[in-house]
Amino acid sequence: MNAFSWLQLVFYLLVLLLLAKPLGAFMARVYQGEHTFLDPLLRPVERLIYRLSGARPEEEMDWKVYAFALLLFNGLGLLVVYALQRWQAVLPLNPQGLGAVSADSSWNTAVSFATNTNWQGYGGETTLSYLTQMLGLTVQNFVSAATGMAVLVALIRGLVRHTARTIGNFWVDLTRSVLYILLPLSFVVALLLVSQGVVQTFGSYKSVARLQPTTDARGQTVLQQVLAVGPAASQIAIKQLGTNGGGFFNVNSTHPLENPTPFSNFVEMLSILLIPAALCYTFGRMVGDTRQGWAILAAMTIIFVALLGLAVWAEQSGNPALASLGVDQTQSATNPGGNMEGKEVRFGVANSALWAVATTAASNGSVDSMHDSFMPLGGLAAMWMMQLGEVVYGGVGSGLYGMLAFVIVAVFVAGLMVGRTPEYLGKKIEAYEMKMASIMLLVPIVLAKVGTAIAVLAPAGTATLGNPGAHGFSEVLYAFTSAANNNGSAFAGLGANNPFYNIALGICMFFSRYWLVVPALAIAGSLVRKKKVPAGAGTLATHTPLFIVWLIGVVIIVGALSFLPALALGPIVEHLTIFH
Amino acid sequence: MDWETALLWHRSIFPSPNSHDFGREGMMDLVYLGLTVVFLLATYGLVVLCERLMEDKP
Repeated sequence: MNAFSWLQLVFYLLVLLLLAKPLGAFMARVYQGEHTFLDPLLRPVERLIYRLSGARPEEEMDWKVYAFALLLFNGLGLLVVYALQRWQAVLPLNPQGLGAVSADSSWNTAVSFATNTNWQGYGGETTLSYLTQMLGLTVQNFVSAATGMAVLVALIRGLVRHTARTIGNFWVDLTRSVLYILLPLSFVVALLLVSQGVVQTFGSYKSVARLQPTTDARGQTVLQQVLAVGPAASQIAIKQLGTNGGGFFNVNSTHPLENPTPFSNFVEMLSILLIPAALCYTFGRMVGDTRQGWAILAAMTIIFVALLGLAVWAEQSGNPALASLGVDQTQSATNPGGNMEGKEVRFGVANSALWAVATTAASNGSVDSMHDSFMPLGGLAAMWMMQLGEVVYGGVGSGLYGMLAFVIVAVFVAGLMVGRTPEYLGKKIEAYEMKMASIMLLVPIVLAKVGTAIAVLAPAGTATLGNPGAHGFSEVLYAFTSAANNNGSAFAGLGANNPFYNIALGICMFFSRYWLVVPALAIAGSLVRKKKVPAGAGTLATHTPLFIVWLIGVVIIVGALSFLPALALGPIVEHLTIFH
Repeated sequence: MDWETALLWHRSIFPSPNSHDFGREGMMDLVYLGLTVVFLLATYGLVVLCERLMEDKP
């Protein structure tokens, strides 16, 4: 890899970390109800929303009511997306006259978008009408992301408040997340993308003359080609910012109308990690000690850089199988070198690997290269990033509340090891919090591994595999890992749009979202009742380099112990097969 | 709307291989809606369980 490629990676991380503080500070002001520069414009809109919806923003909720409101809202959203797909043939904004989506695919997609997973078993441009894309998917992109942010803020309030019962108002947190954070940022990003050539139109698909005529299956010359277009830029902006990932086009950001230039590629990659990284600073601000937020952000960044290094190295090293065919994989002034199979020549190895690691870190799931064509260790880096629990930046809100579950485990174990009473930010961590944190860590692991085991044993699970052996196993493991961690990234090579995978992956997506949300809110509900304990000589400092290393160790050990045997059957054995 | 009109209308909406089978498509919708409701109820069950555990703690 040349110096320019390294420079791009360093520049990306630098911009990301520089933006984390101002955006994080802004989000803290939003959630604490403080004045922001958007108030003159948005405060009347916010009041109008409350008036029209009948929400009472001054009424605080305890954790059960908060959870019930969340489940009710997400459940209704799920049903709306399902109905839109089933009825799209008779609904407006369907210039292509697309028919109803099958029941199993509709349910899978509805669960996928309601849970912020955004796994796509379908091809967007060939399956969904503009109305379904906009009113169904794009709306869910906003509200499912806002749901994750609301849960995080509720958990932070559980840590901040003491001897109380309430953790905020779900409707207020949801509304403010969408109105003050996601909508303005999406507007800016969508404009930037349109400026680069990303399409945004309600017009029908365009028939254009081919640059190079071809022949079809009947031997007739084809001079025209149909280009799918649509309101893409608005959806892509929120799909990246909200760590959703469901692309407007089937091939996501490898499509030139979804990601036309190096600048659009940079903007999209930055959008993926921007809010999750900034929320760490928001956390620090809200708990009154920004060092706590920086410590968590440092732990996330260290893991991210390590796995990014692994992916870049694996891809840049090239593929011996391609070398034996005489493919030149040597880096030169005109050749990026390395394993370019499945990668856009516009982006090369560095940007493809960065995107792969960023999107799997952030529970985003969009792609700008085909992960199925990555080298085994490159694919392992992406897969393991998800298997760590989507806590390295992670999804908006969900990444940080997942990481806080790891923090609780780290504090508890450290307390046991040195004989100190475990406490975090002045709150005693007891058996109840540990039980809830354990549920949060175990649910995705169980879903991913049991789902994979069933799929590789069932004929329906192996019938649509694109590859035999270790690579085929990786394709199944990746799909269930992605669904069970609400990522949505697809390895490809697996035909997943069939009843077996639509139902199995739908179940994983549902439970890995809501069976983590509930314990996270329960932790908030438990902590908010507790008194604050003043820090003493026995208090474990949770902002120090020592704690950062300890937290990384806990995350890695849980991830490694859980998935190493499965990885050994997939990417690791494939790597050994290729290189020996 | 009589049954025949309803069937024609349904076929126009669901042009799937099974669209001739009005009952099957409707049944599939019911199955997936039922599945969703059951999962949501199971999740609310988890809420109740977590609450009980919280009250039980010393």
